[in-house]
Amino acid sequence: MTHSVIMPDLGQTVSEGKVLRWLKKPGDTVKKGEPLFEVETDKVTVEVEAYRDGTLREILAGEGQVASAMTAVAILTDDAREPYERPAPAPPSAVPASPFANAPPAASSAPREIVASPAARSLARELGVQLDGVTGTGPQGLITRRDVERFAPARSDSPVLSEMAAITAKSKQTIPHFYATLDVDVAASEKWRENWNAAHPALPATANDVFVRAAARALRDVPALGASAHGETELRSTADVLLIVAVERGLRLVPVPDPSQHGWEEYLRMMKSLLQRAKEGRIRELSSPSAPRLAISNLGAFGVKQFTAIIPPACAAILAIGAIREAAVVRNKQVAVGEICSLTLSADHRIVDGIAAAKFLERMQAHLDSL
Amino acid sequence: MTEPHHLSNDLKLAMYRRMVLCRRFEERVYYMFLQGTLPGTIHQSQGQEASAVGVCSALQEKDVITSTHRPHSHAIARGVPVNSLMAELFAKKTGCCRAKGGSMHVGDPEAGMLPAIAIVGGGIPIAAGCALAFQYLKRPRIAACFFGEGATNIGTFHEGLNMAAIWNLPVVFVCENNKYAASTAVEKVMKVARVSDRAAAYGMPGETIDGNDVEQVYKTMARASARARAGQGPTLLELETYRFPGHSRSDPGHYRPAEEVTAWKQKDPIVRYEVTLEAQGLLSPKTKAEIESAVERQLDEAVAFAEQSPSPLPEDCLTDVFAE
Repeated sequence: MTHSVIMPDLGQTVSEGKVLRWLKKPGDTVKKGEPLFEVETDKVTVEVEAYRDGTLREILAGEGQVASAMTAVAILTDDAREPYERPAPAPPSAVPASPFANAPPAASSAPREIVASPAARSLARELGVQLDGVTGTGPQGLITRRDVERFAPARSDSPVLSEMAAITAKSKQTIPHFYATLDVDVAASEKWRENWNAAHPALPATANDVFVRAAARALRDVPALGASAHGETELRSTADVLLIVAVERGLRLVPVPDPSQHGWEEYLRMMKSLLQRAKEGRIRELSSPSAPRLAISNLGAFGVKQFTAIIPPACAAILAIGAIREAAVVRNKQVAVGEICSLTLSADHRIVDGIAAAKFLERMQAHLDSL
Repeated sequence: MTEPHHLSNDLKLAMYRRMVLCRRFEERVYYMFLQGTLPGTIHQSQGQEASAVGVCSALQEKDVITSTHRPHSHAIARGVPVNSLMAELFAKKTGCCRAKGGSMHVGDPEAGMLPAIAIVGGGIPIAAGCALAFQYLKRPRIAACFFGEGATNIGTFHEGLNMAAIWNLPVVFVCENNKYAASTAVEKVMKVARVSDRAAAYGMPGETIDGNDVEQVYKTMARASARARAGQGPTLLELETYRFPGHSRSDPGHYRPAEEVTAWKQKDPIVRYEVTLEAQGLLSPKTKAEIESAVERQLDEAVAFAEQSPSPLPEDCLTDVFAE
C-alpha cells in the first residue's frame, strides 16, 4: 500500500514548513517512530518521525523546499518494490492552507491598514522594507516574515548571509564606534588551560572558552559596558554575552547566559552545547530586550593577529580576539619570549567612554592572570 | 476505606493495564497527527502515567477530578470511555463533549471528570468549588485537582488553596511536577525547593513523592483522600515526574539536556512497574502480551468508532450549551 508522508501542521501561526534535511533516502527501510526529516518553521526546527513502517520510495519536497502543512512531502510503501502513484501535486506554498484564505479582501478605496506579524515588522525595519508594498499571504492578508523576505530586493539566497548584511549595515551607520586595543599576556592562562586539559581530556577548554569567561568577569567589573544604547541607563545584573559564531554560510549570534556564574565544568558543557546548537541552526533569537550587551568575536583560529569588529544592534560593545602568538616581551628589563594576544574592543561612544573601555581591557588581563 | 498498605493483585494489574492504555493511546494519537488524520493541537503525557493512574485509582465512584491542557491520561485513568475520548479528538458528535471540547477539554461528568480546563491554574478554584458543594450538600465525595508546577505560580493557586484550607474542603491538590512549564525550567521561576513547601503557607499538609512509582502515588493519594473525606481538609501532593515528549506537537523540547531526558526515560513508570510485577510473579510475558494486544484492539476499535461517527451539524452549536 502507498502512504503519503505529510508536512505536519506545526502550530497555530504557521501553515507551512521548510524541509531542512532528509534523514532517509529513497530505497531506505523506515521504522515507525524513526526520524525521517527535519522541518524549519519561523518558530522552531523539528524532527518529524515516521508514523508507520515501510520503504521510502520518493521524496516530493527536497531539502530547502517549502511545503504547506498537510501536503505530501514523500511517499512510503509497505513493500519495497510495489508500484505506487504520486498524490495530486501540492498547491504552491504562497497559498496558505488557512481557514481565512478565502476571506474577502478589505475595501480598496480606503487606505489599506497594514496588518503584519511582529516578526515581519521587525525584519522589515532591519531591511528598510516599506510594508505597504508587501502582499500578505497569512490569515486575512497578514504580512508574514516570509512575505517580507520574498519582497526584499537584492537578498542573497542564504538567510544567514542576508541577515548579516542587514545587521552590519545598520550598525555601522547608526552606532558611533570607537576602538581600543590591548596586547594581553596569556602565558598564565595558557598554562592553566594546559593543566585543565590534561586533567579533563573529555571536557577540554579552548582558548576562546577562556577568553569568553574572562570577558564576562571583566564585564561584571565594568558595568557601564552592559548599559543599554537607547537612552535608558539601566545597568544589568548579569554578564550575559553574545558570541559571534561562524557557521557554514555566514554568522550566527549566540546568546551565552552569564559565563561568570558557572563553575568551569558547567560552563564548558554549556558552551559545547550552545556551539553545537548554533551549527545546527537551532538558535534563532537575534535581539530581544534582554539580549546581551557585550558581543565577542574571535578570528584567532585563522591566525588573524588583530581586527576591529562591528557592534551588533542592541549591544554596547564587541570584543575582537586575535590569535595567540609568541612575541618578544620585556620582563624585569629582560627580553623574553612571551605569549601575547591582541584584544580590540569596539564600543558605542554614546554609552561607553574611553576610560570604561580601557578599564575593561585591563580587567581582562587581570582575570586571565587569575584563573 | 482501602487499606493503603495492602494492594490487591487485581488492583496492581488493573493499574498496570491502565497505564499501558494511557501510553498506547498517546502514541496512537501522535502517529495519527503525523499521518494527518487527526486535526487540532495536542499536549501529550507519555511518562506521566503513574501519577494519573495512581491518583485516580484511589478515588471512589462519585468523586470528581479536574484536569489541564494535558488531559488524555487523566481521562483514561478516571475511566472516561476511550471511544468517546477518541471521538472527541476527531471532533465527532459521539465525542465525550459532543465535539465542543477537543483535546484540551476532554471530560465526562458521568465518569467523574469535569471537562478539562486548559487555562493554567484554572482548575484549582473550580475543584475547590466542587469540594465546597460536596461539603455544603453533605455528600461523601471529594475532588482531586490536577495541575502542573507552573500553575503553582498563578494567583488562583494561592486563592484556591487558601480558601480550601480555611474551610477544610474535601479536595486533594495534585501537582504533577514535570520540571518544565512549557519550556521554562522550574528552578528559574520558583525560589523554594519543593512545591509541597508551599502547603505550609496555607496550613495544610504537603508531601513530595516519586510520581513515577504508581504504588507510592496510590498509597499517598489514598491517605490524602481519606483525610479529605473525613472532613480534615485538603492536602497538597507534589508528584515528581517527566513528560517524554515536548510541551506540544510543535515543541521538540530542545531546552532539555539530552542526558536529563535519558535519565528520566530510565525511570519510565511503566517499565519500572513491569519489573516490580514480574518480580512479584504477577506479570508473565504471556500476560504482558495479552494486555498489549487487548489495548491495541481497544484502540483500533476506538479509532474506527471515531472515524465512523458523524460530524456535528451547524445546528448542534446550540445543543448542550444552555442549562435547561
